[in-house]
Amino acid sequence: MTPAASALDIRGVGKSLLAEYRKAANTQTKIVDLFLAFIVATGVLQFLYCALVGTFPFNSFLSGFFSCVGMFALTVSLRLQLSSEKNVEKAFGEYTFCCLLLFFVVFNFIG
Amino acid sequence: MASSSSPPVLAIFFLVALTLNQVTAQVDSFFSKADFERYHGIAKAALESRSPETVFFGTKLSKALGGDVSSVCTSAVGLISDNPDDLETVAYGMGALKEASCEVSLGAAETRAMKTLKSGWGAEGGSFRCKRLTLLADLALGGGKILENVETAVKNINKHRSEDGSVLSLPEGMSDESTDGTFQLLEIIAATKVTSKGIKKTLERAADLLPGAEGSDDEVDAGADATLLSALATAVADAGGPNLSVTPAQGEALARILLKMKGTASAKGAYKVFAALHTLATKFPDAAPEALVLATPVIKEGAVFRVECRNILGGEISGRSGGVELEKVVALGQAADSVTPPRLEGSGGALEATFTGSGVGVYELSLKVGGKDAAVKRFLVVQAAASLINIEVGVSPSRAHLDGKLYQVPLRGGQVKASALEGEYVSAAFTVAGAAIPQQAFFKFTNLATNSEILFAAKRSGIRSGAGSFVAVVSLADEVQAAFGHRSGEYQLSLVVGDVGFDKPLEQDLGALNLTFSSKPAVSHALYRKPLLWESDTALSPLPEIHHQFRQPERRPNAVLPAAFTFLVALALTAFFRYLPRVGANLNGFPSGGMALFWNIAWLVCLLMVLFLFTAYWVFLKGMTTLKLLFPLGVTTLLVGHRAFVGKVKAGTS
Repeated sequence: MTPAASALDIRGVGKSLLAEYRKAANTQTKIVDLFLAFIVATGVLQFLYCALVGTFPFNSFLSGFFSCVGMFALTVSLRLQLSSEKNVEKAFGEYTFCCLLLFFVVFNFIG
Repeated sequence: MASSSSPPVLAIFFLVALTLNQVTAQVDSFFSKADFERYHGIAKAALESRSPETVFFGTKLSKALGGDVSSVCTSAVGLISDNPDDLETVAYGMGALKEASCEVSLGAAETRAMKTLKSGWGAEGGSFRCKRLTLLADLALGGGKILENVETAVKNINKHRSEDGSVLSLPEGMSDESTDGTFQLLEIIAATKVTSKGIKKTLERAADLLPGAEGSDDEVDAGADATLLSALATAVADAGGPNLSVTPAQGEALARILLKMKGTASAKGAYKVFAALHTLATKFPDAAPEALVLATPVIKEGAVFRVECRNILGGEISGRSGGVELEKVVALGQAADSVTPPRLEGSGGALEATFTGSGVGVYELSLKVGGKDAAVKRFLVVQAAASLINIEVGVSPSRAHLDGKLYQVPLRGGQVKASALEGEYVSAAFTVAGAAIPQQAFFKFTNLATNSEILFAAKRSGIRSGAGSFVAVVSLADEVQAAFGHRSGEYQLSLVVGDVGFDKPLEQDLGALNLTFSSKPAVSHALYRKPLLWESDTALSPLPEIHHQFRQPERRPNAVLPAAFTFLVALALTAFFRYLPRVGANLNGFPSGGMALFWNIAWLVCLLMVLFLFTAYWVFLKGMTTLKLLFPLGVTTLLVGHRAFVGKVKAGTS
């Protein structure tokens, strides 16, 4: 298969994936996925900044980066719970509590 | 010592005494007229003192010197009246009144004074001194005024005796190193005139304590010896006690100590010294040494010198056959009989003769006293005037004084220079005119800036005529530069010449000289031979200076970069909020009214407050304060959220 054909193939897969995602995913899942994308983008930007200018102050970088990582993990677990559980409020309440806990640690470490 | 009932022992004693008497001990000073006058001054000042002890001893001293003590009658009464509760004041005051034979009344203070004395007798702890003072005061009052029975009192004091009664031991609290206790006991014995078998042994033991006795400690305090002798003599002679004798060796040793002490300025010390000397001279004449003194130890050549032969109190020696004869005169360091000894002529213990020796210096005089075989040696110094002549200062490239340029003194400042850099020598040549060739002659450099002095010895030299020619050559070499401290500059030159034969030392100023030295070399020796801990212990140079390396500030980016990334994050946030409606986000599920609205809004407000609290903790709050605020806020948020979600669930179910 030629590279052009491969590229066309990948684009097709992507389009169908996206179409299928739009059809299958509910609103809540899409909102969470959008938030996840934002978290990833923020984390990547922080990492890039650290790579460019250095780690000083290191504690601030860690707190910022791990806040993204922590939020990503919590949000992913919220997504899983939203898709599997009927009790959305309970999941969201737990998610909120864990986020506040994560924020307290981040603010404590941010310096 | 003295008494023995055995005839053979007596015979041996007399033989020994006769033999010892052949050689009368000689001391080289006596109690002169000047000493008498000084002691009169001490006694007079003591009588006017406010210290009772000083007044007491001043009275005794004045009485011993034959002075007037009538003023004590008033001053002692005044002291007692001012302080009748003090034991020392009362006891010494009473003692002074007794010594001065005053018949006075204490007036209103008498009752309190008597009470003080009685309490002193009964005092415990260190009470021996108090008892002694009380006893003496009672005796001063005529005895029996305070103590019921003086004999009993003395016996009580004499309880400080060893079990076999042979030795009067020292009172408790007094050290065996000092015989102070024995003296005080003897003083009591002398004052009370009590005699007993124990007292006799005490006196004998006390006599053994005198210096010069066999086995005695010659290092015993001389003041204590003086007191001891006074007390001994008083106890023995006045009390009619057992015979006691002091050997000539003891007398000589004691006299030397006492005469050495005669310069004391205190009334107590002066009394001890004078009383002991007086006792030795009058009560033990056979033991008292004679004083053979050169009244003029330093004379001019051909002058008259005077010899005085007196007793230790400066009086004439009586009862001795034969005068003082000058046996021989020897110049120190020369052969015997170098000078024909002149004949001493005179009377009353003062003899004179014209010195017949030639030349200045120290002469040893051998004197015979009273026809005895053994001679006494005294040293006579004969002096003459001297001066320095033919003085020259030279600066030369070699050690020879005459090789360089010679200058007449005094040198003018800045005119003459010498340099160590050129290896020059500075020299001084001079001749001492006079009868003596000096023992010491120095060439002195005085730094005008620092006043430090450097001296070099001059040696005898034949470069100039005259027996007293000297030359001093100073090489400005390395070792000498160290003596000068490598300090270049103006130096004052002078000659310092002295000898015992000179009537005065000679110091001749030679003027100023400018010296140039090389700079001070670096230290060539290490502080330690081996390093103690580090190799640097033996370093000759300072170690490198320590520069403290502080932590360098971290690299900071340009302000544009953080701003750019902040923009990018804001962009991502904007994109998130922009795409939210696209994915179907809406507020349709948010309650529109009623309590559900309230609880949901409250829930959001609580969340915002928690986030605000976290921000405040980041900016200015402390951790514990934050936790204290977070706890109620957290509980509130939990309850409110629970209500909000329960309402939502109910709304969803319905």
